[in-house]
Amino acid sequence: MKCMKKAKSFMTGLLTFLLFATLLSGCADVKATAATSAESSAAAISTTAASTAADTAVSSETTAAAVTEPTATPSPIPNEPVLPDTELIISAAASLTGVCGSLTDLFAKEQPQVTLTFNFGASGALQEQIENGAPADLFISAGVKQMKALTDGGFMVDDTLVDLLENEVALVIPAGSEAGITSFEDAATDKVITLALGDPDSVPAGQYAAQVFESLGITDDVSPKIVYGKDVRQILTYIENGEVDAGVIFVTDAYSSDKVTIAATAPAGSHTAVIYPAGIVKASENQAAAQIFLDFLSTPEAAAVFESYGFIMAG
Amino acid sequence: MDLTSAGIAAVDFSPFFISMKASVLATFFVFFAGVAAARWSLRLPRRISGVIDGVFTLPMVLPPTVVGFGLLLLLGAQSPVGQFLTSIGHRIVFSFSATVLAAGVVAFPMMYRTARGAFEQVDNNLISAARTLGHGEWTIFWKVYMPLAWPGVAAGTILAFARALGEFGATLMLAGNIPGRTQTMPIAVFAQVEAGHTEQALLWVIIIVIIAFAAVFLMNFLTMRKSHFRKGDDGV
Repeated sequence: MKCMKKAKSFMTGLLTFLLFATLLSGCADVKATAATSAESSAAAISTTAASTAADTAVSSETTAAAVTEPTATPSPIPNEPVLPDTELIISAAASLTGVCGSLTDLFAKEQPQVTLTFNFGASGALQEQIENGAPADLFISAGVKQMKALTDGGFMVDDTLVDLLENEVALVIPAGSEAGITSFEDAATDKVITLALGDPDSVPAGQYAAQVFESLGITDDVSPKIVYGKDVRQILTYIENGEVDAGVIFVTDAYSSDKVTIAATAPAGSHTAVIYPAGIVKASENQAAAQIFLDFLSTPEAAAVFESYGFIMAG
Repeated sequence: MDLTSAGIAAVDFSPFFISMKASVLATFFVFFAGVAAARWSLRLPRRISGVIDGVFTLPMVLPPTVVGFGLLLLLGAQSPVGQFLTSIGHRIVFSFSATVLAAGVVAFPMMYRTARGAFEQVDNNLISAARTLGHGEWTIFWKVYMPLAWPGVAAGTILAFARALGEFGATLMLAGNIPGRTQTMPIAVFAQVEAGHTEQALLWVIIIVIIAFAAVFLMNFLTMRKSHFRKGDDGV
């Protein structure tokens, strides 16, 4: 009886010890594993996306560099202080998921000691995160409203704000769809039973979609068919899998997948201009590195990458 | 949405009604399925019984997103079942039925396990006595098993209801976030927090906590009531 009790207490003690040990080691490892997994995922994104779309961009960039600069290796941006190893956390709109992988590759050639970690999501959700103190250094929004909310709240460094990109809104259908959907007005007909839109409260693409339907006067016809996605990537997946008959996302999202086709782009003037503002977050501790990256995004090399994904450079 | 300025009257209460409808319906189906499964699994030979028990308990142990993914694989537009359902005009994905289905699947193990535990507590002597008196299995089930196991079965029903009410991951994956159709209270909380409407989210949180607390309280009350004829009692 006594040795049973002893064995029991020993086992309890051992299990408690193991539990604490795993918890403590988990806490220590979490940061390291998060950083390495972010790096490897960014590298993975860049290898898959880069091999298809950005090959052309990268090769044009190297040929341009060969013509303008006789040096064989790409030179760093002139007059730049050498940065220590820095990690930049960039909260970026979900529609930038593919292109940022290619940009990471390109940026790594110029500033290899700066690690880029992207946090993708709906711009509204990202805005909420920054307002609640999430550690982002830069914010690239798909809508002006979200950036304005942050600047009004004093969360951004105002003189770093720049309008980076423009995009187009499109009605997208599964590839091989035989429903004959060719215009936004078709969303009000029986050709579309379920329609995926972004939640207008947090997803800019949802706001633009609402504006388009409002301008066409079919908001009430469309409302019962809507299923809300939390960001454009989720809507894209819904369309790819055929769970919905159509969805409204950006043309760049549609280009990134070969399982969907664009049925129609939004008529001119049916929505406010799609502008992607970018800026540095005031609470950032890496503002110098963030500014370098922001400047990089406006260079011709980066512009070539953006345009290869279907974005339009603003301004 | 600022509740203080707009007032409670302006709040869209559809998530509450959708949640309640879906949970009640799911619990209804799960009650019969769980009790039947519990009774059936007790009669199985020992080797199969373990495997079957594992299969029935699986949705409770798996992460809800895994359950949702499995249901999506089974019923989505890319699956044979899903394509058949679409062809007869009854798409499950993104419909209210999907809400009931997802809630039911995750609540089933709760009902099953609690009912099975309650049935195992019934004194076998009584069952044998009923058999010697010539009663058929069906009569024995309804007139002997159920009245004796009633507190446990009722507790299982309430537990299943609470689980169905709180289901989020599988529901979001299978039924989606469709306000007025499949947006349950847990999904509404998620959507409101994402959109920054924390006050409205808090309203749902309070309602859910009240319902959940009432359910647990009722469940404890029911299981306190003792049955005289359970195993181990001397009939006192």
